Amino acid sequence: MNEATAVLPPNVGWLLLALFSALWIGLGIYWGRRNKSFEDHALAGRNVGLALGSATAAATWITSNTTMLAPQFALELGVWGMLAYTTASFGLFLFAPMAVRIRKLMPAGYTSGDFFRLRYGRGAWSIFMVFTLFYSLTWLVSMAMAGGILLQALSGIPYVWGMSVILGVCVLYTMRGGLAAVIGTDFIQSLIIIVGIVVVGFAVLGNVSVEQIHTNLAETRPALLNVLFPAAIMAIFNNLLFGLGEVFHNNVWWSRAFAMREGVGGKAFALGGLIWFPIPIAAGFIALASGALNVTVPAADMVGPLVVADVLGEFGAIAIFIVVFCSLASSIDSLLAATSDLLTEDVYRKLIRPAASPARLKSVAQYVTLALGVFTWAVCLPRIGTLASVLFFAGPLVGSMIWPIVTGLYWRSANATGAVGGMLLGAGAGLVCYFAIGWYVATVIATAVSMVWVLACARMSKSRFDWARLGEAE
Amino acid sequence: MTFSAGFLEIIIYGALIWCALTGLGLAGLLIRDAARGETW
Repeated sequence: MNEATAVLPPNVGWLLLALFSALWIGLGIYWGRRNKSFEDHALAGRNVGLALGSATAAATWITSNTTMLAPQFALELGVWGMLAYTTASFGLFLFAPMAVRIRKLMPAGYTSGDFFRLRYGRGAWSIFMVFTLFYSLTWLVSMAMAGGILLQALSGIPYVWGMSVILGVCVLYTMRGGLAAVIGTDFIQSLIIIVGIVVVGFAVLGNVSVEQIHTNLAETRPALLNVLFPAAIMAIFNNLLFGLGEVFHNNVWWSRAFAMREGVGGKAFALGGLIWFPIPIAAGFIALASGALNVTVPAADMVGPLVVADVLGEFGAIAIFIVVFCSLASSIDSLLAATSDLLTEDVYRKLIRPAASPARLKSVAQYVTLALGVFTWAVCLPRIGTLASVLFFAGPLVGSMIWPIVTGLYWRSANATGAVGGMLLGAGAGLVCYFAIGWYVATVIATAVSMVWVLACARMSKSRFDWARLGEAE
Repeated sequence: MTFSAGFLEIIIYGALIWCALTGLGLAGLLIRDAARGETW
């Protein structure tokens, strides 16, 4: 799709981009005023309440993938595709009790890296850092790239300009406001996304009934209604485990667990999961309506905006532009903040300058955010456009970390041999299957191999971890 | 075996109504937190 076929005129796109950019940067500066130390900057003072906590859990998980890939999943994998996508919310549900435990065991912790270092030692920590940085940077680059591509497809804004503006805006307000700005803007972004999806969904249903959608699918693409659609059923397991691995290991979620006020984390992640759960269906069914509405779909990944623009005209195009912009910003800012905190705490503070002052650490975190932004921008500039497959490639890496984290949080017998072997063997087996069989089994195999090794090591271990050692994080 | 129109209707309308309710719930939760001084 190019400027000629964009659903919105470029001048309207630029106007929306300017308005929302000014809003996010203004709020970032406003909320950043109270940040005096690294703890304020990285963890919003460890005092985030239930409303902001729930919204940030949901908004961060609503990426452009959710709003754009959900319709594509529905178009390619049918009803099961939408249902499969909803299983990604299980990561948030299952992280809810873990967030309570993390806050209890590590009241002064900063990052998921702190957990690996204190629980399993430097060897496991090193592997974790390689895996998580690879995954986080790939996700960050894919989001920024998706931003440029989507803004161009929706409004004709040139790719480089769209990508640069959305990345630049997120870097600016994250640098200035830290996690407080990220969480505050997440709340507004989550409400905008929810309202946008509901308004657009009911407007589409005002033009075509579910009965008409069903009749059209039964006549033209019956496979999409098939209860036994094998590829779609496989996607359920892959999505579920990918979601669990991502949420369990990534500092994006751990930093929120540390940032929430005591007693809030469990409820906030459970509510976040409940908020997120219906989004893939509410955003995805629009694709199933394309046939009944006679909308031509030249590219599956643009089916959502095309149907909305066809049914609702410029109003719908504006709504989808805003929803996509908010979805992108809510994920990019979180990744910038969490990855910057990980590098500042785990690398700069723990390896380079253990005696650095809180103000110095805050300053370093801001420069690291800027450096991450510049790095991401440089990688995105050539518009490779194939990073979705790299994200699937990272599936075995995140899947292999599920069991070391879960057992490490709950079992005293879980040990470093299990964690190191589980991550290396699981990721290795998963990657072999990724190339030998396909992406859809890679995460499942990695998680299974890692589980067997970790559980066997814990079973045979005679050592018992002292939980008090996790409280040493500060 | 295929998904019926009735099932499709339930999950689509259910998801949209669920989204609308969570949006209202989130706004209400923020007002409650703000009134108690527990926003952050």
